[in-house]
Amino acid sequence: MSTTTITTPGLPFARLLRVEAEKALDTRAARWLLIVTALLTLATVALPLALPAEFEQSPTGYTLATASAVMTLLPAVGILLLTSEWTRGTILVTFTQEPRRLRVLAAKTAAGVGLGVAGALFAFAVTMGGVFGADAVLGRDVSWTIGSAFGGLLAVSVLNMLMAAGFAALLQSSATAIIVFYVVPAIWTAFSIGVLADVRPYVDSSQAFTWIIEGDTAGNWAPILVSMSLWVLVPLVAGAWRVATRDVRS
Amino acid sequence: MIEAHSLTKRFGSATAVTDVSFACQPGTVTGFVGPNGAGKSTTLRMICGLARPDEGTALVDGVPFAELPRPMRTVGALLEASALHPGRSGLATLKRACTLADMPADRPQELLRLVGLEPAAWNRRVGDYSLGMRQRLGIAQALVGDPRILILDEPANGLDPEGIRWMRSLLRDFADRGGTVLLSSHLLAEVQATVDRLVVIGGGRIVASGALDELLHGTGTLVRAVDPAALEGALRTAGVAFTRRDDGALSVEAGVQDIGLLAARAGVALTELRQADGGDLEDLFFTLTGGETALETAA
Repeated sequence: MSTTTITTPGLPFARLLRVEAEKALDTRAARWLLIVTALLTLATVALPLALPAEFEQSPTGYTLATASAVMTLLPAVGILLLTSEWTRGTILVTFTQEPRRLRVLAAKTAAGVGLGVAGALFAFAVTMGGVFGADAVLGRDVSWTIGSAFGGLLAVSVLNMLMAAGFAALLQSSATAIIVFYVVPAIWTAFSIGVLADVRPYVDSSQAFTWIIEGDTAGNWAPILVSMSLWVLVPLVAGAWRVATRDVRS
Repeated sequence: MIEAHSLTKRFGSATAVTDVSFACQPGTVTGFVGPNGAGKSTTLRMICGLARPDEGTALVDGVPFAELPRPMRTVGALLEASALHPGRSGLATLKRACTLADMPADRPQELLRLVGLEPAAWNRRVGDYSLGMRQRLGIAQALVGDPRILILDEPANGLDPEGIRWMRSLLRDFADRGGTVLLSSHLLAEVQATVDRLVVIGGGRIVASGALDELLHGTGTLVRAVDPAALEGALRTAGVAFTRRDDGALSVEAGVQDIGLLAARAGVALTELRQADGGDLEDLFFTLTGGETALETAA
């Protein structure tokens, strides 16, 4: 397959990516999700401003708050970009226009990752605005050390969008993918008692995301790698396999 | 050129398509007809690389669909009129397809005019289109990359008689310029005037295929006499096989001239004598697809 792709180009990837990025943004659902994400991100920066005792007054502390909207809502856009094609049956058209299905999946995943990068940039801008406000307007004693705050935010936002793409590719249904994406990690956390509590760091994606944002990775590489493999790599590989092999029916 | 070689498709324990083979040549319009559920869509999806055959292969332009170097420039497909995003306008839908196929920016408007969609509808949401309008948009989308091959699943669905006539001349032109057309229908009458060749499928198997004229000829001669019993007697005496039709006429497996001479010698006055026409092809269709499945054509 890959050799075929190289010797016979098909549609240029840049063109596929451009079209998939447009598709991601031109539906009403996507536009509203993006507007709400932006508004919520602006709202969440009020938390560390209002509760200085709860949040470290630093880029890292503020990022833990501002990342939440981006981490929660953007994946829905990424999921819908994939699953709505199956739900609406338009995948019939998409896969006859470019029958190399994995290239379509790659373009859609890349569009989602691009959205994750844009979301991280926006959230970090809001973060720095908040820290500046705390410093200059409220006169708080803030730390301006960026440390791993931005890199961590960028990394988790991208990982989160990859995780969304994996679930979407694997489940190929908007309702199922969204429910599973939001509910299953939470259920894992809820059941993490007793013996399960010991393995929890290895299966808890949100714990891994927090470590990455806080830059607290040094002693935690093993659980981070295991949980990211489980939540990001496995769904992506299984999803790609299912997209490539499953018959398209409507 | 489209080639299906012994395509077989199973869904669980049920076999949807069995050993289906046919070829469509450039310059021809092939009608792929059969009752609903006969396996038409499944076959077209295997040809378009959307469903994997359990056995056999399908080639388009000499290669499997998934290996076409420039799919949009080679094949245009309309597999499902509802497979259009309802939230986008017709114009936006075609613009996106033109971006993908790297076609000039004025092509969407040109195509919308070609398929007869009024400019007032161009910027309306596809969700507000009628089925006929969606079929026209779907055909426009299939034509975006100026392909040499068209694969259309039930394109006449939802089209009014004027629309069917329009589609007929569009596909005829396309084939006359060297294009290859494969279109399916569950209604023979709908495609009869459009196609040069027929592939008839029933119960997942090809039951007849060939040039339309040949298939027509195969149904023989239609003859009607003032005294049907006398005509039947004369045919029996001459050892010519015939079948009695519901309307009193006879279908005879012999040429028009032979029957005319035979009737004259027997002194039987005829009221009608001609080669069986399209009306009989409908009978052929029903016969070939079998009583039980033929009933579904009414649906």
